[in-house]
Amino acid sequence: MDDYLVFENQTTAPATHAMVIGVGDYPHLNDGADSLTKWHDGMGQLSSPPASARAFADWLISTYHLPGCGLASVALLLSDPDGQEYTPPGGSTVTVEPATMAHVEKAVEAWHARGDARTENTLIFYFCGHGAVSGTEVSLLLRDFGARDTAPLKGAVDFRGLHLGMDKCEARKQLYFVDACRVATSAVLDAYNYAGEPIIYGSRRPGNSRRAPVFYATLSGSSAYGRANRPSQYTEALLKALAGAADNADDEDIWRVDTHNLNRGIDFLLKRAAERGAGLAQVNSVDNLSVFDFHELKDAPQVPVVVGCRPENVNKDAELTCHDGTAGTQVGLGDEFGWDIDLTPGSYSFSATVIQDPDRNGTKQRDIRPPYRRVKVEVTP
Amino acid sequence: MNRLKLRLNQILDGGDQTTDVIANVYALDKKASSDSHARKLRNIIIPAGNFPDISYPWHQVDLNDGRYLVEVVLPSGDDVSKQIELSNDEERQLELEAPHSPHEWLSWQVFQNSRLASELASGEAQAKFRSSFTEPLRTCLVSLPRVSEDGSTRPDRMPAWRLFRDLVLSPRNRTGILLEGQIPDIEVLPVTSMASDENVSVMHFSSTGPVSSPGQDLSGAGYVNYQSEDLVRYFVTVHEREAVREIVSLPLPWTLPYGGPETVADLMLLKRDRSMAEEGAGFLTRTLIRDTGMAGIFGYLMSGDLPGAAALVKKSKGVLIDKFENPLAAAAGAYVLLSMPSETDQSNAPSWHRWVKNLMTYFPWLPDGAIQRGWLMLRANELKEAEEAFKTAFARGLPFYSIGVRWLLDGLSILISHEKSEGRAPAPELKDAADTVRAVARHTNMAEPFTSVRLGVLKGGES
Repeated sequence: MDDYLVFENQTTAPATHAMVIGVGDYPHLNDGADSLTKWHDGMGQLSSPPASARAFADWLISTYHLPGCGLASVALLLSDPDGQEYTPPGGSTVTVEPATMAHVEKAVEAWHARGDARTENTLIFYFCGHGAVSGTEVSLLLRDFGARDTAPLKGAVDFRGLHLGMDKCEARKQLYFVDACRVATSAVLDAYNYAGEPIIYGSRRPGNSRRAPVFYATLSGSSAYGRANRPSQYTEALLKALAGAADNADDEDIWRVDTHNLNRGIDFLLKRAAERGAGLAQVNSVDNLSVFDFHELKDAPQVPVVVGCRPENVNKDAELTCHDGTAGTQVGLGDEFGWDIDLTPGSYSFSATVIQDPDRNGTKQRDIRPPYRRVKVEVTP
Repeated sequence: MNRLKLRLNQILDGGDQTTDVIANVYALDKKASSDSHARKLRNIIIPAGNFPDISYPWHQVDLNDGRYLVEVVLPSGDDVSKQIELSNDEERQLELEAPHSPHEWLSWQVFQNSRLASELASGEAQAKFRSSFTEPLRTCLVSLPRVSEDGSTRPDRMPAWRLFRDLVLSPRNRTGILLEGQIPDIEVLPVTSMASDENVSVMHFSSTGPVSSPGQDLSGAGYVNYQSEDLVRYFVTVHEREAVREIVSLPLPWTLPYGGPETVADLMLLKRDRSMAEEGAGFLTRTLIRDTGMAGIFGYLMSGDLPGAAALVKKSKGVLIDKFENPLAAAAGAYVLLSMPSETDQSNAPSWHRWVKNLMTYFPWLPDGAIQRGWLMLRANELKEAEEAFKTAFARGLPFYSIGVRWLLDGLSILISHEKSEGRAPAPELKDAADTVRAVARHTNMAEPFTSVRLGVLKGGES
């Protein structure tokens, strides 16, 4: 097992190989442990990316499921000022290497080689940390960004270059998740025709079409938002969407997540977060979208449902219930934004009762299915 | 068998426009899902508009008894849905209601763009983005001279990449540049905001140029000879503190499918609180086409819904591809189809591939056709043809669509990489083209479908 793997299931069959990077410790940015680079542009330390990367790695190891292309490896690099330890689900705690350029290069090259073994392999790349974008150029800032003031981007990955270069890998299905800001910084703007190290240089003649969508946490030119010591808004939405944004069009008993529905699911959850006053709206985006299934749910999907009243101003005064017709009833107190619950597909009865005036109430019968649902219960005047 | 008729009530500026949107029909119970056909009703196209009565078009779906969820996904990414139950061979008409725009004159923008919709949707959202920015913004419409690659002015050439490269790399770029001082012979035309509130202003354009006043006579503006040598390329420049901060390529000339002298394009200028504007500029521009056949395609693309965009393009393929009515619209359709691996499979090349070559051949003012041809040739492993196409695209100047900027850059990069892998030095003109395109691409706003180039320093953000 190579130094960067936190999970391995050796196989020669078609398999999925993942590369996960979470960077929160930036010694050369504000409040960092080392000299401050002049290219800091106000950027500082982050606590969300290490938590986000760990959460995504956990999901891969414990939940990811693609029949015929099961998970074979997860490589993880972190830069976490609170420690480099990671405990994989069902495994022992390991100390992972920091996400410096030297380590990321080796880890990505090894990941490329694993994917290169078979055309039918699937590759997954996940990055969370500082990012910088200038037009088509995307730089993912690693721990050693700014170590050299004369060449700050030596500590950054040229993501566009990497994405192009990975077309040289035989694996024809590749998914990329970039949870980072996409605003320009002076380092990116100042570097003429350089956005960092692509690691895998060049590109393959695209005769055999690769499917390699890139899921971004935010629009080009916009920021992405983390949360202190927790997975970011985007990663949380991503993980929830992976559990719920599925479809059973091909087989009514099998729920599969494809790239298109995943994008929709994430979009809904981020919008919902913005409705709930999570701060500025963050709008996810996707490039190079091609639609294919990449995850099959072993359990029923968890569908995000927003339950509210009509009129909406009753939300905060109402007790909301959800009954599934068998034994389960959930009760929630709505706030002004309504009540968020996760339900498995099925038929439910929703009711709303104004607490201070129980004669004002309403009921609605609704079927719930992915990717998400809003239920408005009409409350009597 | 039950018959379900679907459509969406959607009012677009004035109320008589009809367009298409995407719907999904989900089977909710065992009865419904027992029909495998019913389980796969995804990305179906239904009419959207303000329909005065039931005689206007519907989309019809035949379904078994059972419960269904009908979901309409709007081009903005928002959706509306309704649950129904069908039984006993009934015929049901279901007209869903689209969300309303805060202003009628913003209805096209809200229809196509979710981010904008969320910014404009409510008074609270507007208050959040209310500008504390007090400096005025000014817009100018310029038609740039046709500058050839050697720097001389020639009537048969469109603005060159080098012009834009020099603009973005100008030492004065830090605070924007005074365009008029750097480029000879540009023609500056008046462009007036047709509708506005304190934060948003909208400029209108007919198929061939600006609409300067509400009552302007547009007769004669509908017809466009796309093979004319006199076609003018229009850009809008946005000035902040009297320096140019953005140059927006307008998708003109644009012919509407039903012809007629009307407003075909809007450019919206949205003021933003600078502290909240991640890019450091106190404004946002959004260009859109008021073309009922294309609005949905652009909207779905911007919201990342490629299947939705592709469904509409395939429906319109006859109009887009088989006729030369609007090469700009055809180029947009070609970008969508070329983005789908199934459509670029050379072993089963669809007939529309030859049309991509026609786009390049018959419309020398359109760089995008050559870019698409180059991309198709790369897929076919025809590298010499690809190289010729990309060189042609480069000579023709800035593509109309921002995706063209990326594809041209990636295409040139792939060719250079191939040469190196074969142990050969890439041709100097290839490398120069790639370097030039890359310099401009770094300043291209990739969040917008139509090419716009930002000048001046952009603020860094915190993630």
